Amino acid sequence: MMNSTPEPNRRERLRIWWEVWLPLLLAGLALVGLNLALYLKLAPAAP
Amino acid sequence: MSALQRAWGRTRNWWACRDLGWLAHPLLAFLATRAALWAAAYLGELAIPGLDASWVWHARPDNLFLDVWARWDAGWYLSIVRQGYTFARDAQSSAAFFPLYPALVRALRWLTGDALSAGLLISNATLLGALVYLYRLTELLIGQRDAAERAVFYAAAFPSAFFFSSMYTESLFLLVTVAAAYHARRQQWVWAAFWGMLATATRVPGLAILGVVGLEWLRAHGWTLATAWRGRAWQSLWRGLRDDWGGLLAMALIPLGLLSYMAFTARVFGDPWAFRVAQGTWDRDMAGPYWIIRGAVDRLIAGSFKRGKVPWREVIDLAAFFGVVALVPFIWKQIGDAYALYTLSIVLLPIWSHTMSMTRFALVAFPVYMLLGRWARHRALDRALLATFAILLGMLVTVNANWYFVG
Repeated sequence: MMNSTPEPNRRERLRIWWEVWLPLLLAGLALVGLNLALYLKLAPAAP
Repeated sequence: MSALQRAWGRTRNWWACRDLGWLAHPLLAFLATRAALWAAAYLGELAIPGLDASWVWHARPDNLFLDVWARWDAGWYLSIVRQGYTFARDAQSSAAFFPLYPALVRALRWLTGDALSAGLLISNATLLGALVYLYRLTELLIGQRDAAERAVFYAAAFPSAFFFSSMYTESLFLLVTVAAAYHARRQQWVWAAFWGMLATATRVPGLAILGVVGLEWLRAHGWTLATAWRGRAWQSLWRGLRDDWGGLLAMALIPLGLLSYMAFTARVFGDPWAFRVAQGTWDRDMAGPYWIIRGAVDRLIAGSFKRGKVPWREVIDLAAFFGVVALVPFIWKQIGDAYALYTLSIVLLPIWSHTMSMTRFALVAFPVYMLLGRWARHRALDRALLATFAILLGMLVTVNANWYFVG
């Protein structure tokens, strides 16, 4: 039977992906990006 | 019916079927205020000769439309983007300014080719994002769409709202703090922590968002400041700790923005507290709110309003401070304790050392806009507020464009 609404546990998996793993991944990327920017681009130029 | 009319009808139906108020109202508030401000800043700069001092600089003398948006602290952000951070113990240095905004500008510079236009692009884009989140958060907390529609207009037309379009961190800060609060209320703790982490990388008061997210977590588990004396609140909190420790753990991300910057200055300048040392060179001393406010009030009383012999900035800074503080009890009662404490800390932290720039700091106290949005159900009040804000905004943007210090 074709059913357009996802099953509950698939929906739950999607929710966990959207509310936990995606923001965690972005937070990790942001943290790495911020530190790379600091050390590589915003550090004072060598005299 | 012509084909054109049919197509128009279909388009209208398509829009009507989709609920796009969350985008339409913030977008309208953004476009209406930015178009007028852009014209006011430019004309204000042309109309008045401006401050003629040796230290006045122009980031883009070849393009006044851009140049008027770079005044005062914008120079520090430009210098961070162009030459990197500097730090000195006994003179003003750029280490006082937090890294997220200049890092984003630096990242976008390859696209625009110049730091100022990249900065203005980021300031304005983050303002639009902030207004969308503010709309959604107001809807969520107050439960009235029209309150949200008004709140975004008050934010965009606040007397110092021209800083949102300047090369300053105000709009980025508003975006990351409102977004953190929104996701916390929706109990999406990792998203809240993500935005909170960006907030502590944007400015010192970003740490205050940890309080909002933390109190929202407690509230989601049945514990609030008002019910803390009940045993049931503690039982429910204990259950929350057992079942939802993940959310609490995610909050540990929030200080990482600040810690990254401290680790950087420790490594490069040998002092994790470089930002505090540098901020201390801005003529600020930690006298505490009582002595700071008393000193400012004394200076006002000693002058003469009638003859114009009063420090004008003291007038607007104190008005902003007392205006916001007066609303705090109402925010507590009508929006929530977390938002009241947040609002208070946003204005109390800077006034610990000076009244300077209070008009600008008060701009990001977003619960104020939500409260006013709720209050101004009466059309007359709504109009009176917007007229007052817009007139003062026009005045301040002109003053600022001509290099007189506003905040």
